[in-house]
Amino acid sequence: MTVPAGFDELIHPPTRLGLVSLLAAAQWAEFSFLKESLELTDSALSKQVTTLAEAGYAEVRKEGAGRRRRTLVMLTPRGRAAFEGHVAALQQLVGRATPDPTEAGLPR
Amino acid sequence: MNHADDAQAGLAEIAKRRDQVLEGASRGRHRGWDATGMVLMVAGFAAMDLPVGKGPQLALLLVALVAALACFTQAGRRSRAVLHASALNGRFWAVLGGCALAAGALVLAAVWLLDGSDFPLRNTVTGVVLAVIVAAGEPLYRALVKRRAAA
Repeated sequence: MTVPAGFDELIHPPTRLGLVSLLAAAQWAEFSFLKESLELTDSALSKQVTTLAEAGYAEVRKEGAGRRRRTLVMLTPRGRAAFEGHVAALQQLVGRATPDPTEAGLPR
Repeated sequence: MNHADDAQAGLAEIAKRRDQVLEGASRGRHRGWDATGMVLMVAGFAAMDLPVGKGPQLALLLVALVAALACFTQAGRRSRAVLHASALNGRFWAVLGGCALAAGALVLAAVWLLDGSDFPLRNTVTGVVLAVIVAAGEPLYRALVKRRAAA
């Protein structure tokens, strides 16, 4: 089976798909929120974020100072477009596997 | 696992994470700003019980409600995650609007009940009722939004 256009190998691994899915639903998310949601360590999440940032898919911003300092992560427009393309590709893959009722001679 | 199963698992993962953000954006709001907003809202209604003219009463209520709105906005901005515009779809607004209408109806019912009494602090009580409804309605709102998102 051929992989549909838009399928993104960078996004697809489970941990990264989870991270990008969280970021796609958010304007931005705190690093600590992502860490807890994905149940990752600081270093593991940092590695995933760096991979996305290097590909131009994510952006990291530091805000505040001292104890109120927080790290915000967000998807770039390029990352968002890649995610949307990937979702469309996944839907296409699922659609291909689901038999068309008209082809199978079943009522719609 | 074949491509289709893998893709199905991927889509399920995306839906699960979207729910987590909906939950995080609501639960992760800054509690201090939210509490200040609630207090200001109650204070605004309490101003309606002050022994002054109708004009100053309404002016105080308006100022307090605007300040409360500013606090609620701050609470959202200091949240752990902020929903993206794409997550604020028709379903989201329908749930939010429905909750707001239900809260409004309950407050109106409370006002109607209290108007019939001679209780001196009835407007303050109305404010407290509204604050309680907003606080109690949050879990319901979260459940409805999440259920809608899964649909």
